[in-house]
Amino acid sequence: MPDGVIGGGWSYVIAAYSVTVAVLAIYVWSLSRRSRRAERSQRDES
Amino acid sequence: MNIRKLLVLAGLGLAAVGTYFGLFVAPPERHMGDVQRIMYVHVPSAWIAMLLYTLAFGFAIALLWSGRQKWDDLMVGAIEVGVVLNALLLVQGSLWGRATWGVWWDWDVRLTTSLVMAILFAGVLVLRRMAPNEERRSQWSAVATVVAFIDVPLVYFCVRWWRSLHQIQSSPDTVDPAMVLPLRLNSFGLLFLALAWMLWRAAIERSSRRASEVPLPTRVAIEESAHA
Amino acid sequence: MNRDRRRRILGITLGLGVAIAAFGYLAFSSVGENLVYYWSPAELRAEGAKATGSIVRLGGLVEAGSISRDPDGLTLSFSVTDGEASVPVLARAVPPAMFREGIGVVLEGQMGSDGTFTTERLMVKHDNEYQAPGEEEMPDMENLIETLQVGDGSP
Repeated sequence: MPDGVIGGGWSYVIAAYSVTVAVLAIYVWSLSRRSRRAERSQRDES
Repeated sequence: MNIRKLLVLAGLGLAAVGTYFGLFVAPPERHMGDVQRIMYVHVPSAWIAMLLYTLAFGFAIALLWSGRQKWDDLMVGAIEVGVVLNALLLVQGSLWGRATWGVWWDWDVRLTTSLVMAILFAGVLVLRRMAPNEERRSQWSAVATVVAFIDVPLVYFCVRWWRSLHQIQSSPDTVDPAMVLPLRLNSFGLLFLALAWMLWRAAIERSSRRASEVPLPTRVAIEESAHA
Repeated sequence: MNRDRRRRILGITLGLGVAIAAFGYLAFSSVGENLVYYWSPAELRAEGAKATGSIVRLGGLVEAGSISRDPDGLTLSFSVTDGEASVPVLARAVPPAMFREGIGVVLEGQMGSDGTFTTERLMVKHDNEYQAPGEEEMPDMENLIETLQVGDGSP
């Protein structure tokens, strides 16, 4: 019978934090890639 | 540029301290145990995503009122970062829900309206790609943003208006002070980071808009010289 | 694009937004009764025979002292109450770890003609209290029922 307290919750915590950090890191990477491309096209233009 | 750097530094600093407190200093919850630590990323994601959508709504109104494209740049920035946080919100909530409620998902009002919110604002970003020109694009996006925004207050109030599986908003009265601290730190940290990313995305939009403003013959010449 | 046209679009958009919001409000509040996410034990009982057979959700608190596990280890029985009425439940589900006496649950299943609710989807409802362990928990029945009754179907 469960005692009303969740044990072994760390795996969920690690999963949630990992997904958060990974997704935000990918987003920042995508921003920097797009930023470099936009800068390049602006430089080409002048 | 400088303001963006400042925001990122402040954001990373606050989030680092907040995460440290959230994972290692704050006590586990008496019933949820350690799983409750998901709150320190889940609640800030929700707050900041909804704040960004609210900003996007304001930018949309400003755009339609003034016609200045800088509002379009900011609007797309706010929406894009908002959608990223909205997606994270759903994943974090699903993990938390599996551990506490026993299910990954259920069609309760809070979960459903949050999913609808993500789909609507992602839809605005898709719609942008279909517009024939810059002016249409900014107008379509602004109109779509105003319509999509209707769901945002619904997400907030639905748990007070209707029965749901999701609990209603907590407040400092219902949360242990040792848990409020990491929640605050992470919220401000994410707020600063999100604002920095929004401004960054807006700057990208601005420069790519300028690049496409170059008259066509010049562009053809540029592309030819690039291939040569 | 001239100013007037742009501002007309702004006016139409805001009007559209308000109209959709108003329509949504009316639609939701008038059908609110049919749109309830879960029924309370009293509501389900009041429906009587009409409620039997179809898949519905039942929400309430696990009654103190009512939990028992069948010898086969697969079936759990307990009662769900809202302070007014209570409904006996047979759950063929592994209960979430937080399942205990006095906690809120939402069950998806069917009301049998014998008045027993059968479910295979047992969800535990958490309230908005987050406290450190050790702080003495008061099983405040009134407060628990109050959290359960948030959202009576009308905004």
